[in-house]
Amino acid sequence: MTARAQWRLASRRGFLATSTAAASTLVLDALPSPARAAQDELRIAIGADIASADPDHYTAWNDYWVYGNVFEGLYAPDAQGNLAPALAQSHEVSGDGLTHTFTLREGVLFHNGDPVTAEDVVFSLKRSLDPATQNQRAALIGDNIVRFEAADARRFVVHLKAIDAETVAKLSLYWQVKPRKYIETVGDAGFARKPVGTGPYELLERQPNQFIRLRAFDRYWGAKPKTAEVTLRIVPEEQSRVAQVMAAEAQAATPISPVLAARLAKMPNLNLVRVPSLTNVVLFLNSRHEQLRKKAVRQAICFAIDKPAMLQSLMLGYAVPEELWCTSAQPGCSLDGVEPYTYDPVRAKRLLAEADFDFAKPLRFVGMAPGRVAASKETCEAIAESLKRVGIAVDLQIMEFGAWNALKTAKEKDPSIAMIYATAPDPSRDVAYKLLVNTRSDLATSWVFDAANDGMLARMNSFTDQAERTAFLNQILRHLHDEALLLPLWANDTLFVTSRNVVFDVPPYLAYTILADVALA
Amino acid sequence: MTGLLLRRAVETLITLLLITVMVFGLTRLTGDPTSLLLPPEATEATRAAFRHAYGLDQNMFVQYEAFLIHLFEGDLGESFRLHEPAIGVALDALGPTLKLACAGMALSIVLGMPFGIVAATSRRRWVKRLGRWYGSLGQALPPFWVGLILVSLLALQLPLFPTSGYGTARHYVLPALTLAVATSSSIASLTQANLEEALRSDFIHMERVLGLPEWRIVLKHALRNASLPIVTFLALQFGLILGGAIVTERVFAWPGIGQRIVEAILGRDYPVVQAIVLITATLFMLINLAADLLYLVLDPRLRT
Amino acid sequence: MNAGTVTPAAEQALPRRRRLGRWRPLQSPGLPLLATATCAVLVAAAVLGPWISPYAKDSVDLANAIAPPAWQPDGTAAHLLGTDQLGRDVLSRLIAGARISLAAAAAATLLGGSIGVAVGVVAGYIGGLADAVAMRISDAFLAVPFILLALAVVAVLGSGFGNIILVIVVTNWPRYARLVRSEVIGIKHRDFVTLARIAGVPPARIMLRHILPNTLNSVTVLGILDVGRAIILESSLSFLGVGIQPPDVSWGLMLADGRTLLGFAWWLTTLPGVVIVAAVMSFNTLGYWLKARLDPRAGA
Repeated sequence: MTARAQWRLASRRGFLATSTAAASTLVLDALPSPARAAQDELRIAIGADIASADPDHYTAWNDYWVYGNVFEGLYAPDAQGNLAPALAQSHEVSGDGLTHTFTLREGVLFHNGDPVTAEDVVFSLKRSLDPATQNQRAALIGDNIVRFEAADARRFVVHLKAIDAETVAKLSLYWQVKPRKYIETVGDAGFARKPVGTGPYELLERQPNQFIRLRAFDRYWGAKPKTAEVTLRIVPEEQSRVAQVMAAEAQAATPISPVLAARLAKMPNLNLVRVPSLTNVVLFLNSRHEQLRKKAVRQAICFAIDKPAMLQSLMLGYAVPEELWCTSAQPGCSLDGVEPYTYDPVRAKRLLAEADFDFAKPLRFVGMAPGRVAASKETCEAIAESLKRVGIAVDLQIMEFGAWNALKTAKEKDPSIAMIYATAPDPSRDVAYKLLVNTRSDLATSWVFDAANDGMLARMNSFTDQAERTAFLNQILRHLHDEALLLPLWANDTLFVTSRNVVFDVPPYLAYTILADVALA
Repeated sequence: MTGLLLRRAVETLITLLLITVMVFGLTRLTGDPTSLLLPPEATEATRAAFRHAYGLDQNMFVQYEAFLIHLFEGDLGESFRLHEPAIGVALDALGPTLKLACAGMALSIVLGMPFGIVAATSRRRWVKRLGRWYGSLGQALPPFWVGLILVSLLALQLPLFPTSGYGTARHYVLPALTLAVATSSSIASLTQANLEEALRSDFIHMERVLGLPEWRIVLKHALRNASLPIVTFLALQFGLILGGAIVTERVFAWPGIGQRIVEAILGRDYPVVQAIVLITATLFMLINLAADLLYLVLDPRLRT
Repeated sequence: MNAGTVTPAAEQALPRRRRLGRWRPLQSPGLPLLATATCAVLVAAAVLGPWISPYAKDSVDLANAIAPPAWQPDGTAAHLLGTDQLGRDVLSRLIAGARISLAAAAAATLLGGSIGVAVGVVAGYIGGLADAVAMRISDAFLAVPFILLALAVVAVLGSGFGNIILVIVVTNWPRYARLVRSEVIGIKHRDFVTLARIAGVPPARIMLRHILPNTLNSVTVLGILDVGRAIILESSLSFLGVGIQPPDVSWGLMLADGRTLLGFAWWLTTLPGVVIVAAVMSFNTLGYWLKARLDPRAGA
């Protein structure tokens, strides 16, 4: 054999050898490690991974799978959804309403065993408000705070600029207590990799984009969680989430779209759990648009949209209809004396005729692509159809979330947009936050431009009497309703598909899933 | 040989530079990440601070210059969303995709080549036609549909494999099969076509006349001649799979770069997008380079 | 005759082009009947769409949502192939989708092909720096993932019919460029080209009149094969949420939208899927047949 032929043979053999070696490494690498099927392990398939385990790097409500279960603020939502003492045992407000003193609970430990002191609380708030941390909610939490300190080992004092009824909520829902000594030892990166908090679950292990493993903290100060171990599996495709439950690889999956949920509910080995959420769906009507300036036109749109039919066909009833921009769980939502916008196309046409509406020009309607909110695309298409039936031409544009968000939060609102479909989640039972962010006309996120509304918003949080405040909130909501500045559609339910042996202690509403309430029968 | 390598290296670098320009421009075109990465209640001051912190308030050329300088230092920036080095995010996700790509390629060769060989060597017309059908079928099936059907059939109806996820050998089967459906049909049709052509050549006639057994002719000689375009094709396919088995990864919750890049693009996370595109493009070119070298090894006629 | 110029008459006398392919009706297979028939039906549906569909493509009827096809127990003759989540008739949407899917694929292929061919001819003929630059640029386009290109187009120009075409054009043109370039490199040393060059025909004319027509065979084949590829690409984009948007409808969009109900309302996904497979396979079969007839080197 010639040298050349020999070399060719050798190189081919070599090639085969190397590729076999590579292939076998691949196979060996992929062989399973011993299965860890714990008895008391709950596996939930969720739609997206959290961005960071560091609570100061919040990006979306999805992050609360960890923030809400591994960490805690001073207060926390109880079974009824009201804020109840958590890390703070009690709370006093000074006479002028500007000084809040929180007395911390005794005997609370971090997951690494360190005790919680007021020093940790001070450190946590300082870290959250420090520009170097880049906490995106720093302004939300801290804009009204002048200074804060630890009066002693168990008392934490906050001094405000102005009275704010939201103070406790801000220090409970948007901010959590972190361990000072631990973070100073391991640094920010170490803390994000292995976070330590005070919540009922501690984070055992996290593989980004794959899973998050949580274990019940045995020295938790409060009620012991019902399930010892929880694994959150990240499965972006809805079909695959459902498949996980059907194949018993997971015991629960969320979110599920209503159309699918209705059919899964009928299957014998599956349960459907629906929890009213505070994610409401709303249609903003741009009163600055040349054709929507007249209240009659906006009201006509409200009468023309067939909400009940959409609720039935698109949401399969898995949503709570809203007349005012709130749900019955929220104070200020009384419908006494409110004239509802029933489905009345005849009246809509009459109003349009009376207002000399120009039917020739189509209204530009911006909608949202599927993925974020259940049935968003279908809802927008159904709305366009409803309006078409009363003669209004609609130019519907379904946009992917990033593009939609850019339009919605643009500093200079595009005046050609007549209507924009949106969700404006309420993080708590108080509507004030949502109203402020979405209807104060000077804010980038607002699509409501109404001087009277702005005036009312300015006074909203200055009430000390709860009953007065509730009545005032109701006034604001009615004003928005009567002026038809926005049309609330419904509040989506959060849907879980679970196997038969999962017992879910369903709260009256859900801002984020409290894993301690889920048990395996 | 060295001359060729050198020339190819220079070409690769130039192309990579062009890619940085393209990716840079394209990501900036997709819009400002500020409103996506900050919550709705963020004030103007917070937004301005965010933009300034990430250099987004400077003009494109300044930004690009900064990007290049950091690139030469090996720093691809930090992910806006995850607060981690972008290159780390990209490399973490690369492993699973590479493994899936290898599994997919292996499966497609195992499925496709025998099919192609049989179809090429058979004398029956219906076998040949079936070969051509198979060659078109794989390319006609939308990948996500194939994936969902495979899950439905082989994971739910018959609980043979896990429905999705990453971790054990069994997790590879369905996603690799999904990838292999499209690729194996191309390999089958390519093998069939090239082998048929090779079998018609004079050299092969000679060997038949000399009395060599048919199987030997096919395996030793015809196949070798047919393998050259297949090698190029495989390299191209590998690169394509690498470029993102995006759809497959989403269906099977595979933690690879396909998913990561979609997430990063939709979330306007520029550094991660740039990191992933650069890394995959580099890999793609290295693979093509390797294929060209393999070509030279397999076909001495090209060495001159 | 002046060496630098050539009269039109003289140019006519030059062997302008030579067909590289020969028709060999006895050897090559006959026209693939099934494939051609399918293509004809689909193209007819695309062209005659609005006149032959029983309903408008976006006639919403919420009360009748997710109705099964006529032959199922709950199906009615009113909707032969059932209805979708908004009560829209599936058959009508398939017909409307034919228009969008095929038009998008055709337009993208023609446009992408034209750009690719132009670049390829110039790069291949002129060679040197132009060739190197063109090839590097096309390599760069090939290496950038299509989702990034798609999203960039969508983010800047919005989603919609025209923009999907743009996305497919941008992802496809490099393949034409490379194919044509390698062909041109093979052609440019042939006698008739050399003759034309010696006779003083300007390079632009040579490229246009002498070289380009000889590449058209393989370009046409690639174009036909690309139609299928474009359809699949569009379906992946719709799966990711950045493809065709309402009120337009495409097969890919129907396939993607229906996938949640795969186990319950099979007709929503399976029917568009079957149509896609039939369309792509038919075009591919036609493409391969054409290749067999036009290419002297017989093979698939």
